[in-house]
Amino acid sequence: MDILDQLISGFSVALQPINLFWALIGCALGTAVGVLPGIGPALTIALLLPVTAQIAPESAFIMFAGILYGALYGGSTTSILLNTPGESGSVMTAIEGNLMARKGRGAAALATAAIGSFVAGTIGTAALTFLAPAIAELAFIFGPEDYFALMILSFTSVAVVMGRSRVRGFTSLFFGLALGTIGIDTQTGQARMVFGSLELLDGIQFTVVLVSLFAIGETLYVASRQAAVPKVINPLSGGTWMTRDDWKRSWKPWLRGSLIGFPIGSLPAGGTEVPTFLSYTLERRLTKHPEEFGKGAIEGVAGPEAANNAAAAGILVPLLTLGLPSTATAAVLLAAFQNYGLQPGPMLFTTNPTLLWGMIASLYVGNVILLILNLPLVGLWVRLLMIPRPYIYGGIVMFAMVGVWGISTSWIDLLLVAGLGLIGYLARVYSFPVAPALIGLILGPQAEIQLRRALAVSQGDWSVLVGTPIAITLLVLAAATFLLPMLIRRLSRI
Amino acid sequence: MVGVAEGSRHPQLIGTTVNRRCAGLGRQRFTHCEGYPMTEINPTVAGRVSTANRPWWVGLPIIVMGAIWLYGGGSIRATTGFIGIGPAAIVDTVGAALVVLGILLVIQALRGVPFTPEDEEGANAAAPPSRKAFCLALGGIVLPLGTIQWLGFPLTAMLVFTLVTHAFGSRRTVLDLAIGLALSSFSWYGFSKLGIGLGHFLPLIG
Repeated sequence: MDILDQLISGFSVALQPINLFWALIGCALGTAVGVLPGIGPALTIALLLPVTAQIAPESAFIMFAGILYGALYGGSTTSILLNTPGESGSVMTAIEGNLMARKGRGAAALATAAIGSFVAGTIGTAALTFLAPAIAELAFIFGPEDYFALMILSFTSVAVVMGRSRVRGFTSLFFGLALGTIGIDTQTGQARMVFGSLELLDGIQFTVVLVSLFAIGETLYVASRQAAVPKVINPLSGGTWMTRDDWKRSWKPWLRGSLIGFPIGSLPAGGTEVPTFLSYTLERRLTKHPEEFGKGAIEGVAGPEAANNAAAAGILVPLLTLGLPSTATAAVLLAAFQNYGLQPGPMLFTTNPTLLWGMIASLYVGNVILLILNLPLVGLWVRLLMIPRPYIYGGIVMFAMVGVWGISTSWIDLLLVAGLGLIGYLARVYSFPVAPALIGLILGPQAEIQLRRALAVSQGDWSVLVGTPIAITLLVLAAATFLLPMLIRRLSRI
Repeated sequence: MVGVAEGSRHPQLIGTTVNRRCAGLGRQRFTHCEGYPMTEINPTVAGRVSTANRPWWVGLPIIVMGAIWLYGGGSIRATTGFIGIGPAAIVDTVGAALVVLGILLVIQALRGVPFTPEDEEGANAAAPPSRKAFCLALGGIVLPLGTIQWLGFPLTAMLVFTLVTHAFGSRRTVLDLAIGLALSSFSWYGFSKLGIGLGHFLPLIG
């Protein structure tokens, strides 16, 4: 009952006109960046971080939540119409969805994607509502050694799961950890790795790293290797909307997709990609129309789209309850919390219920707004694709500059953008994953604090790190994550 | 945006379904849908072993960075104001890890583990890189370092916008400059209304 009361008070925050306005802005922005190439939710939120100085935290997070969900809705539109998945979670949607669009069934594909996203987003949000407080309760019994073990698990899984090889995943992670050591050590006040620069004493801004590795690195990469621009298919010409048969074939994949997406999304390195892939595979196995797969089967759109939105809700579970980001977008949200001087985790549920429950309630509201924005108004978003490519990337670089220059008008930051942007370019050329670097940068300093706290309590006795059952379990899981791919490869060879 | 990391694919987790997925994707834009595809798709790359396919130098900057962190960790004065481990420990650990990872990267590259580019939205990994487009875009990113302090944000952003649009094939310089100036002035004004200062409009005249 308590949760329902909290949720109702959350709705009283989320339904205030000003917050509805921010939710609408967030949803519209999110859909737009989901449709546009080169810019995604992580980058958008990062560029909006300076705004947090001006608006109330509730409004800011309601807007950010809209961007997070909206990007998924927008991403499915481009996957279906252009076969260009704007987000990694939409890659699977593109397969069947685009084939449907080519057969003139684009409208039905868009509808099943949008409604499936709505159903799964709402189920995922409901699961988050009831699960998050329980996990947060659990987190109260965590000691510093448990937190440290949890972060080791997070590091390992991010480095192993993201990217093609563990060596490259860990290289990216340690690159981020190295950047995280720059600045004044919070516990002894000593300057570390500042190379005599006063500006580096505060450390490297998260936004600067994210903007450089994502926006600048991607712009350089895409500029140097341009692909032919695909033609926009008009979804509204001659397409039939969802038929009775389409509904019958869609609702089960929606539910199955939600059930796959949410739990995987809430793992420390869940992300939206693995669940969409699993959902696609599952629907392909279960379908009564196997002959249609590979020719545009509606189940292949409904399932992955649902999985992808449920996973996005799942990502918020470790973030809000433990302060553990598992994707680049979650890492930016964590940075946004820190901007307000807040630390997501169990304490936040007691110290800041208005913010937290307002944000959770806004997820329900946002899903409704997005359904309205994306079903009748989909033609509007498709128009965005007619903006010429040069202007999209010119605009992205300009707004990247606004975001960086707006933080502190610091010349050193611009230098870092150029340097890290080149590194982001090289990462793409040699296929290194970028997200582990961001997770390392934002989580590294916290892991260090927890480690040193644990060792300080134990008077320097290292056995404290495996001193509790929770810590042992988490470390064993981390070791398993590290070793599992190797075992699977060996087994599959036999 | 498909970031490299978020757009990654997982050979280990996919298991037996890999081939099906490739079959579905092969006809479409994602020609390299799984694992290390370039060798399968481009026979000339697979057949010839040249240094271009074995970029052993990729690991070197990582080793250098690790060495810098190890050196930096060593020069952090050991204070006694702590119990357990001090401020240098994490710096040393990270430095050592980077050195090891860099060496592993060199070994991997020399043994022929492929380091192939990613397919991203709007990018064609198999296309030969265009040096001119790259340099124009890079010019746009480096330019603010030289101009922002005396030209100010709006004019600098206008030039950046034009350089980047030209990297993407636009040839209408005057129009791009005009759009760039309109966008940058608008953001300068809008953000200053929001309380975010982007400096003087034109620092030269104050």
